[in-house]
Amino acid sequence: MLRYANRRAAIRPFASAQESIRLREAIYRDVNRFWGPSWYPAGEISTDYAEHGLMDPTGMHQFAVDDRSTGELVGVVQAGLGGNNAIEGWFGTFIHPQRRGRGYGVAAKQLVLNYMFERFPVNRMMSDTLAHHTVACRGMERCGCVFEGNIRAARMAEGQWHDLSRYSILRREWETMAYRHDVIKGQ
Amino acid sequence: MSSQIGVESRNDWLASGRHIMLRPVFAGDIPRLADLLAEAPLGIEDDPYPWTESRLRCRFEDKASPGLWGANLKLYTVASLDNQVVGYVHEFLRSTGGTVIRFHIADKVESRDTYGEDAVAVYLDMARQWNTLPRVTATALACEALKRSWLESAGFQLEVTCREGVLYEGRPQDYVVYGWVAPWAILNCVPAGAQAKELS
Repeated sequence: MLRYANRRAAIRPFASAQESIRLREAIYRDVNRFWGPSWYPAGEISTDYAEHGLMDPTGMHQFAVDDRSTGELVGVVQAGLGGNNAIEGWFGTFIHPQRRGRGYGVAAKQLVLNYMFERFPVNRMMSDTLAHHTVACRGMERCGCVFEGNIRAARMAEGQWHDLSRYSILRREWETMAYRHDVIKGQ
Repeated sequence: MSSQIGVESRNDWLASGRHIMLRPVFAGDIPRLADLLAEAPLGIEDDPYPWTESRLRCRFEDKASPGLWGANLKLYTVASLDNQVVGYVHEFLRSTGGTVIRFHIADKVESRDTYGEDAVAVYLDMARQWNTLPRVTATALACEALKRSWLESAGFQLEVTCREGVLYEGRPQDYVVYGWVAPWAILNCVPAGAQAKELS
């Protein structure tokens, strides 16, 4: 079974389209206040699940994030290959509004970085977050990511434009990360 | 800027400057564009497959989205004022607002610097007149000094240097992200150091 776990969280493919739809409904209602309009319609999730189980080999790989000790579903982490001759990938997490601030986001990011670097010939993984979202910026740094710069006025939310901060980690940097050794696979 | 929107006087170009014009792709441009796309260090779409002449022609003749003028693949030909194809601008419309461009001017054309500087300026001059465009993003390899100078002289600012994100000539290379932001968007932008929001 495809599953990566560390002390805080475990990531796995979604068990059904409905599981993903229910989670995203709860997350989007809240996240759109900060990130602006974004959506992944239920019908599209169902179609994608039927086609590839939300693990599109050429697009987005979506994982359910569970609490490691209770098995409760707490969020989604997603990753994919970027353009630029496919040596670059991207990743991002959305945690359920009632489960934030407990380290699930950082744990899920560390797990999905392991998944991407182990399974794909990517040289670099990148992620954007809201520039004023200091908690997320700190979380990126806890994964070993390096700040590369701000993209100005990149998202519109609640009537204002927001800058995005870009972070990345190179393969050789990831190879030095201690969190790699906490990962348990396939259990 | 010296460019002007000229659709009222000629229907085969969108905007022109002192040295070049931007226009939609004509069928006759395709062989030259295929050469230019092969020459450019950064591809125009995320997939790694080369833009051969036959692939370009196939997309050009696509009945659903003809003329290389669709939402995901919109190409402008950069032509000299005597109508020689000297480059292209690829434009992608972001769902979150703004456009992303990649552009190239033939490496060996005479007056490359002049054409390139004019092409970027003409594109930006055209785009800013849409009035609803918050930003234009442009990417280039970090080592492409000329392209970077064209962007800077047109008013773009360097925003991000992405480390080792592109495979070029067998080695990972840095690429740079430049941005131009509309003044009205800057005025309505959350200031740096604003209160943090707890999201994760």
